[in-house]
Parts: sequence; C-alpha cells; structure tokens
Amino acid sequence: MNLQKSFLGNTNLIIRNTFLLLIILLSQISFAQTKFTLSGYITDERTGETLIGANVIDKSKPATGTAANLYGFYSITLPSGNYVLISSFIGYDSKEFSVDLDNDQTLNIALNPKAVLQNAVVVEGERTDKNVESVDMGVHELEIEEIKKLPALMGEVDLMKTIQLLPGISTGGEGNTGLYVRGGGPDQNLIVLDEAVVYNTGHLLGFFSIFNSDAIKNITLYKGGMPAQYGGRISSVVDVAMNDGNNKYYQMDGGIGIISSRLTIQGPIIKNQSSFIVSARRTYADLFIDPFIKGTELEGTSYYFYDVNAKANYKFNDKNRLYLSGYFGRDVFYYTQADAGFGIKIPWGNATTTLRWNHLFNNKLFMNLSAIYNDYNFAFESDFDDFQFKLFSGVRDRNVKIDFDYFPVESHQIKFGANYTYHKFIPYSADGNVGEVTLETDSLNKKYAHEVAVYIQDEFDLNKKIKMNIGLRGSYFAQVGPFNQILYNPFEVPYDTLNYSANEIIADYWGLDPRMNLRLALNDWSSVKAGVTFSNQYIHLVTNSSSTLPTDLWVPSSALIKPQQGIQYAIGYFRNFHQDFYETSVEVYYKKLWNQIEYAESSTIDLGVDIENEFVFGDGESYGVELFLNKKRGKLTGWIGYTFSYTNRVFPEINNGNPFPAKYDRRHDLEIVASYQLNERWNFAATFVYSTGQAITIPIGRYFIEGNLVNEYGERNGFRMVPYHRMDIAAVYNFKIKKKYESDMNFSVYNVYSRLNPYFIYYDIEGDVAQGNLNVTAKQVSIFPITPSITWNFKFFSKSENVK
Amino acid sequence: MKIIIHKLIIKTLSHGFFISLGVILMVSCTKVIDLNLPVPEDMIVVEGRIENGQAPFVMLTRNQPYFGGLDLNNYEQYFISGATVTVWTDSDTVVLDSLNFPLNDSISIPVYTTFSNFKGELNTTYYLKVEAEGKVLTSHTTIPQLNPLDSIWVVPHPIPDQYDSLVSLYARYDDPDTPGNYVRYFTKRNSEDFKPGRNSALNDKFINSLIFDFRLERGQYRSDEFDIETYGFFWKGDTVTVKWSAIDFSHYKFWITLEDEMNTSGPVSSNIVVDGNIEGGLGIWGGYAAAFQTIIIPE
Repeated sequence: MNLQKSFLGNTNLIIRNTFLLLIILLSQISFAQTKFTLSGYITDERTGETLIGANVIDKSKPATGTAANLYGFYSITLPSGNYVLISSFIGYDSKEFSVDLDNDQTLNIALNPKAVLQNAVVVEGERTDKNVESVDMGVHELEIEEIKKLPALMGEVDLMKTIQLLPGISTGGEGNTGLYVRGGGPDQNLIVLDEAVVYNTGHLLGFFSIFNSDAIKNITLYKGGMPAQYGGRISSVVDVAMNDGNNKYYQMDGGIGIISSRLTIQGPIIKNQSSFIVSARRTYADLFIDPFIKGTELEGTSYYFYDVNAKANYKFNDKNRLYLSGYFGRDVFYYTQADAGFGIKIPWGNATTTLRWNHLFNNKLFMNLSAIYNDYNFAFESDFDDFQFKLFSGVRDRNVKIDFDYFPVESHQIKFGANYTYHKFIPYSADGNVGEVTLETDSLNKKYAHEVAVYIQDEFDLNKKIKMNIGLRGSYFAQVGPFNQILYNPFEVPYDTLNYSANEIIADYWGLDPRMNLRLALNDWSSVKAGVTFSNQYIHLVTNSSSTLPTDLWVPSSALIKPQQGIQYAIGYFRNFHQDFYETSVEVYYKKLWNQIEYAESSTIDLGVDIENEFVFGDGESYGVELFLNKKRGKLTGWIGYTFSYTNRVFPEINNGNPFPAKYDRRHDLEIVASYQLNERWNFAATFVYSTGQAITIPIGRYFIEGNLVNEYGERNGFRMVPYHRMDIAAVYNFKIKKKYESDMNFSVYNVYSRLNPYFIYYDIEGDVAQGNLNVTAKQVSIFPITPSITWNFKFFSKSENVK
Repeated sequence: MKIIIHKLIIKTLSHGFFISLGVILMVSCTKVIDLNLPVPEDMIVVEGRIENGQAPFVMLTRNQPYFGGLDLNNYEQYFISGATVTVWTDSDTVVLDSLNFPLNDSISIPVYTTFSNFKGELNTTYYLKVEAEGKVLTSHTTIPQLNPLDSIWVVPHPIPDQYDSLVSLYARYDDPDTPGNYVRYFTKRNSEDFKPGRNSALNDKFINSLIFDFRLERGQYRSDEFDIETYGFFWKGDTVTVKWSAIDFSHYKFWITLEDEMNTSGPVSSNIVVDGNIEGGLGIWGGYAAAFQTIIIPE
C-alpha cells in the first residue's frame, strides 16, 4: 500500500509534467512559416480498400512523413515548395509523385498490390524501417496474407493463434484462446473489432477464435506503450479492423475444409462510393458425428458454431463517410444421455454492431464518431429428470466514442477524444424448476455501470533524433443502481440490504493514465526506445479454474472491488540489418499490478450470494526480456521470438500470504515461424513453439473423512506441468491464376511429431479404503495429437482483375 | 432445493465439459504419469462428532503423501492411538477412553469415546482438545436447536413404466425465521448405515423462513458403485429413515467445501481448499442436532 501511495505521488508529478510539456508543444505549433497541407485517402487500386498505416514521405527526407490513420486518411503539412513524395505500404508497389505545394491540396493515392515474387525487392525511399523509426515499442502489425500461409489447425487459419506466436505473449495451452501479455491476465487485453470491444475471443472450448481471417484487413497489437486513445485495460491492445468491402467489383472468397468452411461475398453497392462485405463460417463436425451416435445413448450430442461478419459503407462526399459493421457468432453444444434422462445444452453468443461516421472538418482535422452495441452471453441449460435449470451470464454494452486526428504541422500528430460506455453485467443468473417450484436469481445479480474517458496525445519530433509520444487519459467509472447490495456478516448471514434506485451511484472511481514513449535514433538503422504506461482497469474477468471457459465471469468494479491498476516500464534496442531485410529488437520490461482478483481458497460458488463476496485481492509483478528477429522480405520470411520472464502474485489470503507464480508464468517462451515461397506455385511454412509448462496447484497429500479421500493441496501453482512444445507445417499449392478466379490448397499438419502436451491432469482413485486396497494414479489428458487437414481456398471476381 | 440446484449446476458444468471433450473430440489421449511430489508436513486429522443424546466420538488419523498405496498391511499405521482427547462444556469435562473398534476379522482401529453420562445436548457448545505425538489440537462446535422436517412422502419415478421399482422421496421443510440455519442429512435404507449423499450439506439462503418441498437424495458412499439409473432413487418396499441434523456454520463450511472439492474434477476443477475447524490440524469436530423420520415405501 505504501508503494502505491508513493507511486501515486509520482503519478502526480508525471501528470503535471505531461500537461506542461503538452502546453508548450501545442503553443509552438502556432509559430510556423507559410505551410500548406496535402491530404487524402490511401487505398488499394484494385478493390478500393483503405490501407491502414500506409506511408507518405518526402523523398528527400525519408525519415519524416506521415502514415494513414485507421480509416486510410493521411495529412502532411510542409513549407510551400516543390516536392517528390513517395507513398508505400508493405505488400504494395510504391508510388512516386510530384507535388507543387503552393496551396492546400487533396490527393487520394491508390496503390497496387505486388505480384507474389516481388517481395524481395526494396524500392528506393520505401519506408521499411518502421521497426527502428517509429516511436512505438512493443507493437506488432500482422499481415493477413502472411498469416494465411501459416499452418492451420483443422484448416482454420487463426488470428489469435498467430498472435500467440509473438514474443511476450503466453498462452494457456491447448483449448485456450486467452492471451497473457507480459505477465498480465486474460482480461487485461483490450480487443476491439471495428471499435467494438470483444469480451470473449474464443468460440466454445477455445479451439477457434471468433475472427474470420477473410473479413479482416489489419491487426495491430500493442503490448507496451499503449497510446492514450486506448484505455480500460492494462496489458495490451489488439486492434482488429474489418475489410470495408471491394467497391470496384464483386468478389467471392472462401474455403472448404474438413471441419469447417467459410464464404465471403463483397462488392460495390454504388461503384467507387459504397460497398458491402459479408463473411460467414460454420463448422460441421456435428454432421460427421451424428450418424455414428444415432441409436446410441449419446444420440443428440453435437457441437457446432457459426459466425457472420457483415459490413457496409457509404461515401457521401470527400468529407463524409458512413460505416455499419457487425459481428454475430453462435456456438451450440448439446450433450444428451437419453437413458439417464439427462441433457445439457450450452448456447453461447457474441454480437457486436458498430455505426461510424468519418467527417473531415478540414485537411488537418479528421473525426470519427462511433456508436456501438455489444452483447456477449453464455447460457448453460440442463434437463435432468423432472428438473430443469438455466444458468446465464453476460455483458451488454452501449458505447459512444468520438476520436479526432489532428495534423497541425508536419512534426506533430495529435489525437484526442472521448468515450462513454453504459455497461450491464449479469455475472451469474439462474432459472430453474423442479416440478412446480421455481428459482430465479435474476434480480439479485444484474449490475449497471457508466464508464467515461477523455484523452489527448501528441506524437512529435523533438529534434532530428528524438521522437516522442506523450499522452494523458482521464477516466471515470461508477457502478449505479438499480441494485440491492446485501451485506453479510462473517458467518455468511445477510444482515442488511442497501437498495439503490436507477442511476444512483453505488461506488465510483476515477483515474488518470499518463503515457510516455520516446525514441532516440542512433543512426539510420538503429534506435533506442523507452516508455512508461500507467493504466486503470474497471472491469475484470474472474476465473475459477485452470482453463479459460465461458463460465469465467466479467464483473465491474464496485463497492467491494477496486479498479485494477498497472504500470509498465519498458526499454529496448531496435536494429535493422541488411537494408531493413532483418529487423531485430531486444526489449526489457517491468510491470507492477495492483488490485488483482482471485477467488478465495475455500470459496464455493453459491448462486444465492453475489459472486464478489467470494473474491480476494492482491498485487502482482512481472518482468522479462524479449528478443525478436523478423525477416519480412525475400523468399524466406518469418520470425524468431524468445522471451525470458517471471510473473508472480502476492495475496494475503492465498498461499498463506507467500508469493506464488501466476498460472501462466512461463520462464521460457520460444517461437519460430518460417514461410518459404519456393516459386509461383508452392509456399511452405512451419512453426515451432516451446514454452515452460503451466503452473498448477496439485494435491501433495491426502487424508480420509468418512472413508472418502480428501485432497490436501500444496503451494499455490507450486507444480509445473511438463514443457509445451509443438511443430506445425503447411504446404500451400497455388493453382494457376485465371482471369476471374484464383485458388489454392492448404495442406496442414498440426503437431507434426505428435507431442502429447498436457491439457489437464486428474487423479484416478481405484479401490476402497474400507477394504484396504486403495490406489491413486495421476493421469494426463492430451488432445490434438498429430492432426492433418486440407483446405481448398478460392477467390472469384466479377471483373477480369488478374492480369499479373 | 435451490441449494441442490446450484450444486448440480456446478457438478454438471464440470462433468459436462469433461465428458463433452472426450466425446466430441474423440482424439484425446490419456496416459499415466509420474509426478514427483514433495512430502507433506505431518498433520493429524480429526474426524470427530457429537450428537444430541450420544457420546462424543473421535477418530484420529494421519495425512499421507498423495500417491502412497493403502493396503491391509499398513492400514493400522494410519490411525493414531494413545492420544489424550478431552471434551468439555462450560459445566462439564470428560477425557475420552480409547477403544479398539474391529473393522473386520483382522483389522481393528483405535477410536475415542466415553461410556460415562456425558452426552450431547441441544444448544450447547463443545470444546475439544487432542494431545498426540507431541502436538496439541483444539476446536469447538455447537449442537444447535432441532430443526426437523415437516413430513416425507413418496413420489413415483418420472418414467414409471421403465423403472417400476424405483421411487423418489420428497420432504417438506419449514425454515425458521432466523437466517443462518444449516443442515446435513443422511438416509438409511433398511439395515444399511446412515449414508450422506453427494450434496448433504444445505443452507437456508434461498428459503429462509419459507416452507419448502424438495427431493431427498438417497445417501451412498462414494466408493459404492455408481449407477446413473438408480442414483438418488429408493426402491419400493424399502424402510427409509432420514436423519436430518442441524449444524453450525463452521461445521457446514467444512462439508460444503469438502463436497464441492470432491464433486468437481477435470479441466474445470478449482482446487478448493477444504475449510476444516481444527486448530493445528486437519479435519472436523462437528456437532449435530439430529431428528429422525421413518417412512415405509409400499410395494
């Protein structure tokens, strides 16, 4: 606690200095010579898709320039004169053009995608040194086309699995889509899909993520130094942007695999002005299993999921554009045992809708206004004889946000904005009946909250060598009624109820998050970066088991639960080799976390009591080193990442107050990803991962009560499962490209040497203590031994586009 | 009953997932592994109870390393004899006698009880002290007031044509006005022992001061064979006695954490630490206010 107080003192200092710095910088902006602004949108020539992060640089000063924002908009302000500018983007041919900048101009740029084998060539002036040049550290941008060449589990190329291949990101093992970034928990990642927050990124059982790669345009991961425009989560940001839809011609993409298939249709509504895209995906493993189990006890057991991404956009004029996008996914799992009169159904759903309006006030000020609706819910329904119940858990958000990009002068890029969310949480709600008696806990547990944030940040060049990004984010959170807060005495007996009416404040918190990143360029090919990020987090995922399940609950901060807080310090050395063919970096980080949440050691989930009465609180700490080598060009591309790290927790009420490792503490984490383009037809890829085993709590002793074996547990997370390692390979055969049609076959083998990685450990008790022949053995369950798959991927176009 | 619902929710949640993974994937592999576990610190385990109208009864055992086998040869080493066990109330004290209780022809185990007039009474707190092997363990528990069931009756099986010999037993319970009533119940079938079910410990959170009808679970030892068709049901012609015992909060906490720990397993297990009430040791010293009701199920 003292540490936190002194930290808060330091925060005040940081905040005050940040403000001062910002004011000085903003005032400097007005002292400018005659400058003019060139602005516009950068798009893909073929499809009209905006290119997020595409560059526009001054050929004579390649170290400076600007990048297109999340909507493809760029703005560059230079002193009047003649310029040769280059616009570039990875995977595209660069374009050079001359500009006579004697007034403000609009220039929309369209770039052409590169032919497959041209990746080896570097064009003069191309911005290939982002690794060294940018002020961001701990950032990774993933290329969809590269991801699609990687090995796929059961034929499904998966974004979340690819993110797990980056250094600093641990996984929970098989069947677990949670991300553990630099020692932070799975709820500490802000994952947004077209600005909508995603609460659960995995379909049921965690083997597939909700992201359909055909619908995705761009993924940016921030694992440190999060810009102030993002907030509410401590450890990372995964910003996923959907494709807008080809606005020039119709296109149909898809893939047919063994376990699942997907189809995407996109095209113009009004050519060059408006387009749509719809992507759908479904697994059909259930259709294979059905005939086998028909007539058996298990008839009626099945599992399937489907999801749909849909988007439409309309460009009113150069200054106004409207987007409507949505995601809808559903998992359904049935398990029946007819003879026992027993059935379970688990419907799970995730839906988001975003409406966005881009507006250009002038060529320096871009605005986006979004309205978002988000609904995540999970139910568990069971039928057992005369007894039915339904357990329900969910989160529903209504969110409005406004974001401005302001490009006042060449060396400054300012972002500011505000964000408001109205949350509704249902951590646990149950309906049940036995015969005529009914149970309903709905009113007990619904929670409402308001979350508000404002931010401002400036990315600017202090001088030729130093670039900085300074930001400040202020946030406020209030849990409000209607709600009945029941107070319990230490014997779990309620003694009072506090009734709150609608919008009456039950508990509120506010915080300031200062963010600061700095890049010191040592020369053209290397730089040193450093950063500090402080974050407040108001909503939490509490998990009660060793794997992430949809039963893990999202809960808001409240009278009992304080916000989580975290501070991360990071410093790194970034260096490119061989004309930016190789990017390398070494990053060291230290992270301190406060107000982390766990279930109490003896807690039993009791639906009659608000779940937050079962929580205990503590602190955490993590630190590590990440090494990264990335080759982005040439026939052979890929990366090697290695992380050495520690992450532990201290809770007064757990493990007798002694520090213990977090369950995803991985001492070593190694990933190797390689992709080799042999020729126009064949591409081969392989991935290898190795990580220290998961930390689990296991019984070390036993005793008997009434003849039953009772577990005596050892140190919390005191035991390590065996290390996890696995190799996957893939071969992609590209068929000859036809005018209106392309296709390829992806042959993947998951877990090539069939390593039986542990999924969980359980104890088999045989015999009977009364007969004196008891024996206990430990058994390990693994899933996914060697698993091959084949997927046929295709693209059809309505126009002859493929004249490569 | 609502408590039973929530127990079943947790149980089926975990078992449901566990079973489903095996079924759906059909590609899972299980193998026996060797875990090198540290040896736990030696602890004494108390299994003690005191019931209204009955003498206190205590068994003392030891904890063991997790993977040790247990067979007839080492059985007796597991029990602790020669301990001094004292039980007292505000007004009365007794030192328990040690006897050898025969389990079968070859094994007898030491248990501690008394043949004096010291017997459990309602609304009384009982303190315990165990001195054994250089250790001192203490505890206390309360026998609350009686809280009997109102009535019990027979309900036919939901699918009577298929299961014509099985029936369910239902009970009516009238919860007192005061919150914080806890119960543990056992059922005895014919000449069998009183056995607890998988969810034998109940609280009154949902049903405080209400009259409540619910289904009784036939008690069964976990080592008894588990048959999903007959589980929880009784047979026609059975004479069934229900022992419905009121218990105090820490006694309840012990059984609820124990049952939850034993009822969950697999990837969703949550490593619940059993909340015993023995200071300096493991286990339970629990008071029961037992009320009995018998019903004869017609053929």
